[in-house]
Amino acid sequence: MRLKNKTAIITGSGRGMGKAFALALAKEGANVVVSDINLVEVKQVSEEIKKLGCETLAVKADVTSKKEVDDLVQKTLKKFGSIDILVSNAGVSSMEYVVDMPEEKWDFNIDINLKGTFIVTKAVAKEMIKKQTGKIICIASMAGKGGAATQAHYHASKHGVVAYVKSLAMELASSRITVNSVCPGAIKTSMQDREVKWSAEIRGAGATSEEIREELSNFTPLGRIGQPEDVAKVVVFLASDDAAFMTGQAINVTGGQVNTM
Amino acid sequence: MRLSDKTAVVFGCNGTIAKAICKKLSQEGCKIVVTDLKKDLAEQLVSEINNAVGIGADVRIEKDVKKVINLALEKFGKIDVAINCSRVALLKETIEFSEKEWDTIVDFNAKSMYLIAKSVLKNMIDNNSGSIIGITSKAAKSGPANFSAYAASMNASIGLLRSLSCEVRNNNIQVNALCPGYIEHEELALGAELTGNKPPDKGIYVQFSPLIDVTNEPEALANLVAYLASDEGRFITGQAYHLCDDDVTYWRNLGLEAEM
Repeated sequence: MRLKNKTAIITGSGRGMGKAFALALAKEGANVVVSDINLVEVKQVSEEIKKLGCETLAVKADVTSKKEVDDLVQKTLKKFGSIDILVSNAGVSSMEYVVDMPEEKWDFNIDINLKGTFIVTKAVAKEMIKKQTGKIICIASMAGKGGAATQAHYHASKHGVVAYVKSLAMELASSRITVNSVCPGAIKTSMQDREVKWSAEIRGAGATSEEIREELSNFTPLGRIGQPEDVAKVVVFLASDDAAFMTGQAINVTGGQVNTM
Repeated sequence: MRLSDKTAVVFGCNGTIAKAICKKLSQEGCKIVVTDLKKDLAEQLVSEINNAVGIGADVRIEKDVKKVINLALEKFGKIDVAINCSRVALLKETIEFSEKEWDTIVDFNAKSMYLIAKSVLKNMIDNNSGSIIGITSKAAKSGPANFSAYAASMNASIGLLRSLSCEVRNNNIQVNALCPGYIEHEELALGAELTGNKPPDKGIYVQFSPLIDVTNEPEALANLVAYLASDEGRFITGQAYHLCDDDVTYWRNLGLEAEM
């Protein structure tokens, strides 16, 4: 148990990768604060964590709302007294070509993925500075390093997270707080399910979700789509003292897929 | 005269880099629409170069950006080159950064690139030709302390351009970013003005690398812009170029380097 008595907040942990991170951190002994915009889902994940014999808290929070994020921080401090680990994971995606992209879709991706990361990390960093210790892990994406048609807004937001993390790491280094980002590749989540369906629709000509999924596997040197647990293991490592000397990095978890231009 | 049959729109002209780019393009025979948040800055620059018209526009507002594109089409009939020199910076610790300050920096540096690309692409696709160039920053790659919104927004711009280069690869349109090695006084001054902060000392700039010669870099950048705008640069797309050395760790304590 590498994270005994540590308290972790995970945003966007009602499902998908965030849920896998919450369960993985709990299995290492951490107190886990499950947070998402869907209260029903966070309560379900929190119940699963309780069954593992861990302390947990379920809080509804929208990462674009400073008020709700401040509330998340205060509820965590009230119950557990400190925040040792933050996994800033809440994220969204959509697909459209730039020429057809409504301004609302740009704002939707940038506000939740990028500004949400700023709002959450700022609120938690203030508390970590008081303790002069902490681990911040921001979930970016392979999209933080390369480019792909129909997701210019998503790639912009994730590139933003990668650079933001480097800057924040420099600012918090003197407080012995590490800040890193993780760049997952093709991972089996509900977000991927939606993207695969959209990809098939955009491509047209009778393309099926199954064909798109097979392509994703073929593009991945390790020959398979990743599971949320593949990424969770890296998050646990970065949250542990095994990664004490790493900061400002953007770690690919992509099965060997390289998407840098 | 490598650009005598070309028309360019240049967004943002308050810094030495933007001015050098406009002058270089003009010298190469390019017709230019120069735009800035402050109309008088655009008009001043237009008076110093040939074949140019000036207009005021806020790059954060789609209507304004479209107005510029329409003016260029009206005056010159087509747009071959779109260059975004809109850059604004604020030196401040992340934990002190307000949401309003964050929005100002991100919208001015990154959303501008989206609005410009979206507005200009239709004409370029119709012509099956074009070059889009974003002037971003080396900060996008190095991630300096006390400039997190600046670094995030500039890398966001690069991410957008990389994706866009994939979208228009069959339309003979190149999309690239350039990453200057320092933040200009004008960016810091505009950042302070737009966010209601104290203006920086006159002459202040922020240097990212010990090897930059700030007296030469605007011209060096302008030369590369002219190349990417010309038919010689046709095979280059999806790139983000430094025009400085690659020492990403140099300016960790960046605040201390902000002097001239």
